[in-house]
Amino acid sequence: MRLLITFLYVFMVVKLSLATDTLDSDIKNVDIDVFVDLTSHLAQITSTIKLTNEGIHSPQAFHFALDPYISSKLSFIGAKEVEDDTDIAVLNVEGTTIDNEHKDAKFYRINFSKPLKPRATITIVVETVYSDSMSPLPKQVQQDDNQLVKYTANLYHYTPYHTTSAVVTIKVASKNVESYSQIRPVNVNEDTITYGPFNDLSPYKKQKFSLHFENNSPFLTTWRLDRWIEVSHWGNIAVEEKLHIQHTGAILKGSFSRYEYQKNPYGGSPSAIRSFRTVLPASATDVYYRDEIGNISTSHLQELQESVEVEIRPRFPLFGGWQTRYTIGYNLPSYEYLYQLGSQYALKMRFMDHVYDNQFVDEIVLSIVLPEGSQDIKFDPPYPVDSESTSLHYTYLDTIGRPLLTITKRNLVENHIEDFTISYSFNSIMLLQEPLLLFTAFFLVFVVVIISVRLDFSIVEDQDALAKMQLKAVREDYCYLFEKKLSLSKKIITNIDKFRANKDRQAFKSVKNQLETDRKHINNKIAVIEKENKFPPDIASKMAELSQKDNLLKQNLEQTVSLFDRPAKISNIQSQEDKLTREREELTNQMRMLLSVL
Amino acid sequence: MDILRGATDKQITFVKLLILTLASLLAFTTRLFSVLRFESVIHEFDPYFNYRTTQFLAKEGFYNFHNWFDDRAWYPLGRIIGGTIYPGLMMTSAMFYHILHYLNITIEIRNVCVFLAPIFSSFTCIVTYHLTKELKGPGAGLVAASMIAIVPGYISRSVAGSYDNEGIAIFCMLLTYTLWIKSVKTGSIYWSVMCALAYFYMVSSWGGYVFLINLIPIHVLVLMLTGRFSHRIYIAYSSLYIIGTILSMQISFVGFQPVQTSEHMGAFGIFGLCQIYAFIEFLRSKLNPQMFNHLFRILLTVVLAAFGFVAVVLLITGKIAPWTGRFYSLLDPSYAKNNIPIIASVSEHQPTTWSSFYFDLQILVFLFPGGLYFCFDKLTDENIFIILYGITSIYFAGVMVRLMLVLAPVMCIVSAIGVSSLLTSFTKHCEADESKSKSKPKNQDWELFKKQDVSKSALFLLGLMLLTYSYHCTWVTSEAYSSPSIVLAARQTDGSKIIFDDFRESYYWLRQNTAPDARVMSWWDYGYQITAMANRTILVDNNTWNNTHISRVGQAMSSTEEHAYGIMRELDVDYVLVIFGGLTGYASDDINKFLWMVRIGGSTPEGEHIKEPDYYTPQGEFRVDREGSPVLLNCLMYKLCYYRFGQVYTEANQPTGYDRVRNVEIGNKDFDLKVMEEAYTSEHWIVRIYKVKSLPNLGDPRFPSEE
Repeated sequence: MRLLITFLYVFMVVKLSLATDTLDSDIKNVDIDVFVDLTSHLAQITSTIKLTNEGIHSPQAFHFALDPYISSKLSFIGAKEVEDDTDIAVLNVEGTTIDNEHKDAKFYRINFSKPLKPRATITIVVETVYSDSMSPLPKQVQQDDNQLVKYTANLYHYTPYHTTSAVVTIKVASKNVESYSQIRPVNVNEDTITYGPFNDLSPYKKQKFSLHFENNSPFLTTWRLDRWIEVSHWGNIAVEEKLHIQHTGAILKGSFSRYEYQKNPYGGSPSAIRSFRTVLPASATDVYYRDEIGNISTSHLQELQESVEVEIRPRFPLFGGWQTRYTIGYNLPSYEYLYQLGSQYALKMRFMDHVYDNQFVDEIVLSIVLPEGSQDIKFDPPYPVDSESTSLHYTYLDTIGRPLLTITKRNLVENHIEDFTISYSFNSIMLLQEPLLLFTAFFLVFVVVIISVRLDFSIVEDQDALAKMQLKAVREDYCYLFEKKLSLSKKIITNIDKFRANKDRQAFKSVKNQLETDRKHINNKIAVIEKENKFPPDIASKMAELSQKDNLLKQNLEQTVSLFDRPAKISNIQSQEDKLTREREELTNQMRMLLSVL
Repeated sequence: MDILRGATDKQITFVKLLILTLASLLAFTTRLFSVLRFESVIHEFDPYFNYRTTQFLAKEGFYNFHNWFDDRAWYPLGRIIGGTIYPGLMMTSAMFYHILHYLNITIEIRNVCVFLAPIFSSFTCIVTYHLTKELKGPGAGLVAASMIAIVPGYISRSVAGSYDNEGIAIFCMLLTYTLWIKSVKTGSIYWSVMCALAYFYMVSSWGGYVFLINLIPIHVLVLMLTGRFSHRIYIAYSSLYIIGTILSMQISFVGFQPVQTSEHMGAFGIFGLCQIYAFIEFLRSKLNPQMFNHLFRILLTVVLAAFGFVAVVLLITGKIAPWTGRFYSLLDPSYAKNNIPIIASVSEHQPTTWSSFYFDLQILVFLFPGGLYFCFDKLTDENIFIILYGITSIYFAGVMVRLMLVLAPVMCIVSAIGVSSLLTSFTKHCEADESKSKSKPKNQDWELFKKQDVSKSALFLLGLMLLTYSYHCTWVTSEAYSSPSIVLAARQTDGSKIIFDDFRESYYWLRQNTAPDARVMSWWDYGYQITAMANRTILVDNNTWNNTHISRVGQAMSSTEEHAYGIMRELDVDYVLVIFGGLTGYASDDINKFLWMVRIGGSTPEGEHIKEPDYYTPQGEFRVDREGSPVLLNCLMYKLCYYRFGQVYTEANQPTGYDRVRNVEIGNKDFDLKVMEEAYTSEHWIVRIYKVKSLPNLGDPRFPSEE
């Protein structure tokens, strides 16, 4: 393994050393117009370079050089070809080295969109952004003081080619310029300082100059941005960003007075950062803003047509040197960012999103969590990144873990807000895994409960429970017999009615006898049950009551039979019958009640 | 009831389960007001300490936790956390946390802590059901479970976010009681051992276990006196005492206390008494009465003499520690006030007012005597226990307002017994009448008719009472017990809500913008919050274990700036934090607590120069306006609270520097700080932080010369 790494390393070194260029001395700078924007805490330099080819070859590219002292502060470089103030093409910029040329300078090769023909001219605009190029002077200020900064740089455009004419225009943050280098020709107009034109400058010519001016724009540095993107195929993408920000301007000297701060909410404490604006995607929902100790209640959310804007107000105003950490998170619908072709998916999202205007992020750690079971993951960054690693992340309902991609990059500015693409394959069946998992888990729980309730696992026989169960069975038998008896008595009544209708005494008698023998049969069985089992007192008393009621019912039936089974007419037969019927119904009801209790 | 007539066992089980589940769910959800209104956040003061220790335990594991020496608190002394806390609460949350994470349920430890108390309230419902079932029956059990689900006295300490020992201790206590009743009823070692285990859990989670280990022996004693002592009780108590005591000694904070301190001697004495009683019973069964009486007399004198001698020797040699201050103040409510200001200064140690009984218990106050009547009506071993529990806890709740918590469950149980008994007897009448009224014309039996009517109206009345109870409980929970107190909310004149998040604002400022080892001096109330939220070293905290140290801070606060500087240098203080409510009208600020600082500061020899009367006007009033005592108007606390406040307009038609808590214009407006500078003041001025300047250059006139 180690051997392999060594080999790879050697290979890479060789490859890097191979990527050296040679300078094309035929290219000349005809006209260089440098615009330096110092209105924020970043130096944003737009160099408009007019090139001409004085040779006979047609070079594919030219070289852009960075002064050694500033090359470490470069955050962004981009180039485009312009004609008559309209952009024609975005050009490819690549870092390179050049043999035998200023070893400590840093070179970038900028490829033309088409080879530059002899005698032809071309206008290239190179945009560079430098962080940390202005230093506060004085280093410490009091609460009410303005923040003054000093900018020191090479006045001439640092270039390997001969320059015919050059102009430098500097826009500073305010009219309040303490001092500036007197290099003629110079012209100051409010917040704009123009140096030049300078003619016939030799390659790599340097001229140090410095500016000292008031700059109260927020000197806000994001030291670390942890961006966490979690993709769910159920339709949601959760984004969470953890930030560590600091005011990197002039340090607050002495005390912070809340009274002074509140007395003059707009003019006072000019260098303090009260709040800033973060722009989130338009479809962001459920935005939260919190930190380690809870929710931060001082923020405002504004939903615009194109975006969602959050006014982030830290728990406390940020003075020079003060820092804070917070977390902001939101949900996005996946259909806006996730593309599908069969089982192939591609997620296209911003590598870094807007934090505040003119942002500078020292380090970003981008983590992308893909659904469980994603395979063939390919990450395609918009620009080279510093490191990339994969691991597994476990969260709710996971079994094999979700693939987690961690990408880091240092030194980013607003120009780096670009989309990355991550493609992977995912089998949609895996979507069902989590519901099935839940289903199985609950199913198993219920099965276990059912089994443990139904089966007896005790090693000792539970005499009580056994007796109880037996008793219950016996009681059921007992009740069944009484139910039978009740149905017998019903039969008698129906037969009485029949008899009254057809006066077939013989048939009635036989039926009656039959029923009576049945009844006797049942009574015997009941007697056996009562004899063989011992019932608890409350049940026994109920049983006694039941048999008493049963006897009454029997008497009632006999009376009813005798009422009709008699040759002579009885005068008040109707009322007697009514009485007996009522009595019978009541007895039946009571018996049923007792049976239900038993 | 009609539905249940003729219902099978299964149906009854189902209804029981349904009611119990609903009660448990209700217990959980009614405690979520603060989470829904504010956020999932830890409340108050002590819970922040518990939260911090739980975080440590979850991250570092048990052994590191056990050996944890905390250098963030009690600077420069530090505190051995592992040995000075009841770890039950933290262990429980950490266990939940690890189990959930093992199942890949990646919940934050904060949320485990926030929702622990509501979950345990649900468990408490179930345990209460079982306890009451053992005492009276399943019906009463269900009523008790429903009552305890919403009783405000318990909710006050178990809302979501109130992450304190009491949250789980009530569950442990009732579980122990249930198992104790079980073991008394069955006399089986199995239940006694289970009871001992529950007791162990209780000991590990709350100092209130002392109540439990005194109540059970009292129960045994009363059973002995009433002649109900039997082998069942002998087995139950002996097993519980031996196993429970050995287990409880495993908690390092408890250590040898169960065999050394007076609080535990009652239990030990009753254990001995049990053995003697059982031995005598044994002898009585073997000997004839004459011999027995002779032997008994000899034995009694010998044993008593020996026992007394040993007790005296142990007391003299200091092997048995006398009662602690907090325990004394339980027996004698005025003790703390006269002797230990630090205990008296805590508002939850104050005696309870009558109104708070009604506020926290509502109709239970009236149902309780009724329930007691039914308990006495059918006196059994277990009913004696609940009567004892009820009566002792009423006394304790009267002495200390926080012990309302112990009273609330027994109130529910006894009231439920009352309600259930009443319901049973009244519904019986209604039922009987219904079946008979069908057969008999109504006008025949007026007596019966009246009986039925009275029953129905009584039932209606009871239902109404229970209904008002549930309304009252919900209202109290929502209004009084659901504010996190770390975030303050107020209504503006136009009705909109305004949130004061000043505490977290300043704590977070400390956390982010001071040196990691900075030492912060504040009054002890805020100690736990500062260590947990600001993660900075503090001098004193809510543990209040070292009176001298707190007194030193009190002295610094009540001295003049020059004098305080000496103390602050001595204690290596970098920042001083004070709470000031004068701008917003937040009444529990440091000026209102200031007299306690003076009292505690003056209670040690070093602070002899601080005398309480100096801070009053000649008329004996505590005033911060022009009439106020000059000592007060020039002490450090006054200056830190009112620095530059004299220039602020707080209210219309009032001069500058008008204090909205004390409702006066402050007396000393125009002063400058010499040895300190304002480092941070929160948005509404509630928290003010000052930086102590470092030692002066030679001859700096602002500083006092070194003596």
